[in-house]
Amino acid sequence: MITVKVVKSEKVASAFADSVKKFSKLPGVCLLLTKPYSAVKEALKKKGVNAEKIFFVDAIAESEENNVVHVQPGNLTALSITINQTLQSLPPGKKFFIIDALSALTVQNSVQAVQKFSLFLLERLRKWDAETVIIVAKESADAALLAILKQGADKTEEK
Amino acid sequence: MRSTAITSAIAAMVLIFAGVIYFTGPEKFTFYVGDITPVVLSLLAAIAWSILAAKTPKTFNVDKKARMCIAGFLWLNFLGETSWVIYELFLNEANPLGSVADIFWHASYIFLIIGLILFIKTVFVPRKILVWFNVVFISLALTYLVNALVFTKFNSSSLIQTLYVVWDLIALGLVLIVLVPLVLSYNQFTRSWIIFLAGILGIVIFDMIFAGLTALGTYATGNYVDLIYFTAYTLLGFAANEKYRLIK
Repeated sequence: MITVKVVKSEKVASAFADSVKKFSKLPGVCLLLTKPYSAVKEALKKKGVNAEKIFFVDAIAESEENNVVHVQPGNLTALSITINQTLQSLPPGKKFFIIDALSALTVQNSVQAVQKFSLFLLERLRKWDAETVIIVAKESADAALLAILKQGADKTEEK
Repeated sequence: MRSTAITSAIAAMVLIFAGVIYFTGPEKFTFYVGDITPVVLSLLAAIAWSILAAKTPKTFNVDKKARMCIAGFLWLNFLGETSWVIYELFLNEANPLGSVADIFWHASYIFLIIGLILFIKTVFVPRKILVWFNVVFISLALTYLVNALVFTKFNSSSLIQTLYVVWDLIALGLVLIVLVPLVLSYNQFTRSWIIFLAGILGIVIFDMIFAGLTALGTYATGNYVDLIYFTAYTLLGFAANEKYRLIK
């Protein structure tokens, strides 16, 4: 199931932490586009989630941790391969994938490229059968990008 | 120990042995090693990719099909290499161009190109780049083919060599589409792709040099250029091991 959460910018962090907590019993991957792993780890710890059991694709900063891989957010080809490979590396069965926050990709890529990337990712995630949460900051999201995400998702939550 | 790690370790040892013989061994021995080594390395790579394809989860079905195609490509290469050895070592026919081996090798390219296309389907590549690469490399391939057909004296052997370069140019375009952005963003998850694409690139480069050398009549088994070919097969085996390590 793919869920799109459209939240105010200041609530992105808490929406992300809540989503991770919800799926924390499953193996999963988080794509970090607004905060580095070091910051997210602390936030998740406060929610009672052990971040070390989750795999992170960190597009903000490099990390020495074994469960973190860094990808430049401007390289969408490398990002797509890393997402694919990390999800394949999880044990078979149910898994989750959470993006914090997709709209941030438009900082380093054109809006059209992010729209196409989102379509590509939505199609792939559905095939890979991953419980997916895509968090989008209300203020920074392009209207066309938001429309694509809402149309591709099974459920939309706006807060 | 993973089965693909075992095939990779054997391949590395075979490659080192072949390298030592090529640089230090007597000519006759180099000839035998030059014939046998690609048979062994292609077999090991084919086994590794078959294991990888079998173990790929069904939910990643495009990856699975792509890996099956690469396994098919390698098995056909193995048959091609084996046929070449039979001609050279048992039928005493040096450089058996236009033999059964070429049928297997040409058939293998169909699997390789389908496999690469399937792999690219699993990757996000901006459409403009995709179109641009296809136009450039398919145009180059067609130009080379037309040039060879119109301006050179043709026989079955030269046609076979020309077709290899055409296949290679198409494969090269498909490899570079993904390889260039990955080299710019290296991590442990893109590593298997870089090794795989470098392996395919090695085969393509060898084929192009091989076509040039045979056209000049200067190629014989045991040429140093063979080492590029051996390394390419070894890298393909390593790539399968690297991908399998991630699944495990």
